[in-house]
Amino acid sequence: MYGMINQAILEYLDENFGPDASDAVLTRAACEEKQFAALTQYADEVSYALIGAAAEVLDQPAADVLENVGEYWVGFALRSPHADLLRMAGRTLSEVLQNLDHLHTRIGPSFKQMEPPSFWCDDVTENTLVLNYASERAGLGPMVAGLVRGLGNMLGYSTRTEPVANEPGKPMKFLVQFTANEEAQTSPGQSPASGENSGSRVKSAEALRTGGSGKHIRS
Amino acid sequence: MIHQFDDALVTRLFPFHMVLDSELRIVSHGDSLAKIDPSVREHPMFGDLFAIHTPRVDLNLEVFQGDGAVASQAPGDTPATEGAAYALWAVEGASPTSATYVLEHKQSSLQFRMQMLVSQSPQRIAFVGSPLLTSPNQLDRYDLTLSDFAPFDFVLDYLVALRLKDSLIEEKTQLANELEQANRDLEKQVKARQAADESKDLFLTSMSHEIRTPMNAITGLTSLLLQMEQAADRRQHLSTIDVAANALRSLIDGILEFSAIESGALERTQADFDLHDVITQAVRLFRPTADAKGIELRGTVDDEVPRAVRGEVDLFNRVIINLTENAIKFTDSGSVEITVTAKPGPRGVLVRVEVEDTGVGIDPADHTRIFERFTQLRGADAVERSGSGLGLEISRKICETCGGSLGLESTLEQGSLFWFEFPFETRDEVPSKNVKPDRSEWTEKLSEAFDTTLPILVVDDNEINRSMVMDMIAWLGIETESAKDGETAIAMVSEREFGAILMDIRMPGMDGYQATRVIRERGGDNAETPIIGLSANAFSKDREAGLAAGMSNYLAKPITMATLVNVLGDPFNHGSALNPENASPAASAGTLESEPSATEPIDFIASSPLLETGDSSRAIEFLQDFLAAAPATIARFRTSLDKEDFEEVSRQAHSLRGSSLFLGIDPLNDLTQQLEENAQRRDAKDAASVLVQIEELVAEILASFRTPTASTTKEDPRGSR
Repeated sequence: MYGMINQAILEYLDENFGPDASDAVLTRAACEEKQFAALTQYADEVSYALIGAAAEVLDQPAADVLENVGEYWVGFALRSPHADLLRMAGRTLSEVLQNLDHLHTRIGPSFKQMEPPSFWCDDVTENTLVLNYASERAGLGPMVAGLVRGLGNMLGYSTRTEPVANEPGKPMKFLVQFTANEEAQTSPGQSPASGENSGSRVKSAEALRTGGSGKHIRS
Repeated sequence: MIHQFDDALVTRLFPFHMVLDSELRIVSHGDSLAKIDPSVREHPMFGDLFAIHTPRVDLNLEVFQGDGAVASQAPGDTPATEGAAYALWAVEGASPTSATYVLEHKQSSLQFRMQMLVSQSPQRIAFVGSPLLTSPNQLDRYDLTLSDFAPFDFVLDYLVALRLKDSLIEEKTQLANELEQANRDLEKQVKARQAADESKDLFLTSMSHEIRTPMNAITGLTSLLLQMEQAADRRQHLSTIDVAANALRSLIDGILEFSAIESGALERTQADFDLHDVITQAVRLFRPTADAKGIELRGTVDDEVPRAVRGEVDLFNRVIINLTENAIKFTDSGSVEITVTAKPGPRGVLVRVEVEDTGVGIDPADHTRIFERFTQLRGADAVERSGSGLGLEISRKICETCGGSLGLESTLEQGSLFWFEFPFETRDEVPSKNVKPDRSEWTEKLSEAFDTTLPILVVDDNEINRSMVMDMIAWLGIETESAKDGETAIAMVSEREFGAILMDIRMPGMDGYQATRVIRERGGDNAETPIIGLSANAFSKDREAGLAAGMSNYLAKPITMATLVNVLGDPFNHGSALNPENASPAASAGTLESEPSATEPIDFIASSPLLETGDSSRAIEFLQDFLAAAPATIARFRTSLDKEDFEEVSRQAHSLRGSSLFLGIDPLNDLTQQLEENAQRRDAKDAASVLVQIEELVAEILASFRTPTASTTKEDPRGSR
């Protein structure tokens, strides 16, 4: 995986649990690097080791750590130089989730070694959709719920994400329910959190950094 | 040409398309186009919203009408004429559907790259394509997302690549800025550190000097009180004070030297020399001390160690002396062995010296500590054995400064092996000390520097030294006058003009510095006469003190004809005094293991500068004068030593050392240096031991005069060694 993923894990630990936590995780993961170059490829094992070590250090299930890192990832990406790549995925949560594969195919030529997961949507309604997720990497499913929550925060939505299918060898399915937050509503004709509403996105990202967030519904 | 547009398909494939009727009114459009300009929903005329940027043509409705059919229709109307010509512009032979169109939205200036499609029924033309975006920021500005671009549209890929390139540049710039800032911070820290070091060195130096002055009073008065005091208990207290004060003074000396190294003021003089001789000298220097302790001192030089090298011989000497001194100090029985090997090095050869002893050894836990400044060995007798705790640190610094290294291998109670490596350049030949001078050339050089018709005043309290220098000058054809102290010199200077003045630094009463100050302050005929300081010490601080007092230059003993002429011939060039080519390392022939015994008087004065004149008789006469005075000199030493008047012993040893340097008696030079150091350490036992060595040496020289082979007219004694 690219170094930015590992760096996001470390910064998540730093910001939410302090530098001692990230140091402890690096030590427990027997990781030689103290920080990761964003556009350098590291072995997947490094990321797995970091997540595993974080679960031990924080005394949390690895699934929870993954979910929280997934949520943190969105804010991390928004603070990176590649933020506008993420923003061009769409103006609504539904649009963004439907465009994730499109986004990955767009950035693929530039991130040649990227092996992104695949996302596609079924049963799209005004406030729900079924998000399909398939990845070459095992065990990262819980991260999807966090990513959806993070994207909801970014765009001004309250979300509820629950797995509805998780069979070995088949794509995972998540039922995503979402409601636009009132404060994120914009004038008629504009989608939530679009155009001049970028301030609310920054605000949401700030909330992410400080450990708080927009309203979200945990299943 | 296509016959009919499938609006749904076109909309999906081209989110930015627009369809015009025969009036060029926009009758339908893609959803994304409405994001750019919602008024497009009102079916405006194409020309009201867009201009054709490329090609430079206007849509030509007349041509569009082709056969003269309806010229104007309501939006959505079916054209009256089937099969209308679709050539829209008046460019003969060109096909409008094969052209690339760049349309510019007038209000936003956003441009679109489009292709034209034409349908016959209904008669329509359509522009399909996508916006020409040059920056990802435009996506935000026009509120565009991935949904606004067909999957086959590579505009987005281009934007992503552009964004990535910008990101990389941004990251690189940020890293470069951080690096630059880090460099600036580092530079500041280095400067701050340097400033702190300079302040520290200045503080240490000035404080050390400030402490030294009262320390001299303390040691001097303590010594006096020790002689006056009869009560045993008080004498014991005074002795304790005496030992402590001298230890403190020794420490201050170490600090001064360390400070000089730290501040980069370490004197580094390159010279060609005989490496084997230098090592031999070092071993010989400590043989008396080792013998006194009953320790066997051995030295072995590997065959591969070159004799002829060039490098910092004085510093090399300092390290080998320090390590050997330590080895003997910490060894009560057994042996100290010095082994010298060599291997190719960056400057030519890397010489490795190992000093191995069978002494107390060092706990491995202390191997790092031992090199820290002010660190002394542990143990019951540590205080007794240890010095300032700076010696090893100074030695290591010297090695590192010269491009070498220093280390140790040791186990407690199993002896130690200290080693150091020192780089040298190799030379083809051992420097010859038997260069015949060109007297006329030297005389001419001197005459250009000052008025050689005027005499040179030689000021020195030591008669032999004085006479020696006067002889050297006389050989150059210049008259001399002499003074035995500063006061006499001042009186003489006030009476007549001299061509130059050679002024000994260390004299009883008024020393050379004071005398120089007075001469300079009084002015007169000799206000600008070159005054050259003379001293057995070659430290820069002495030279600087001399220059500060008004001396023109400084000449370190032993004085050779070459250095004398160099300095007198260019008295205000401060680099001339220590011309490395003329720096003559103490040298004697032979190897460590097979030292040939000196059997002729002239062999004892191989380094005599007078031999450079080619006439050894005068040098032998001086040697005889010295031998005649030697019993009285040694008696004075004994008297002073019995009284424990170490100040006087030190002064006498310094004076005798000067004589030995002038006479060229290298072994005597070594012994007097040891004696002076012993006196400074107030070490009566070692001083007495050295004094015995001096007596033996004097006896040996006297004996050489009685041997049948003794010759006082040998012309070239060193050529055979």
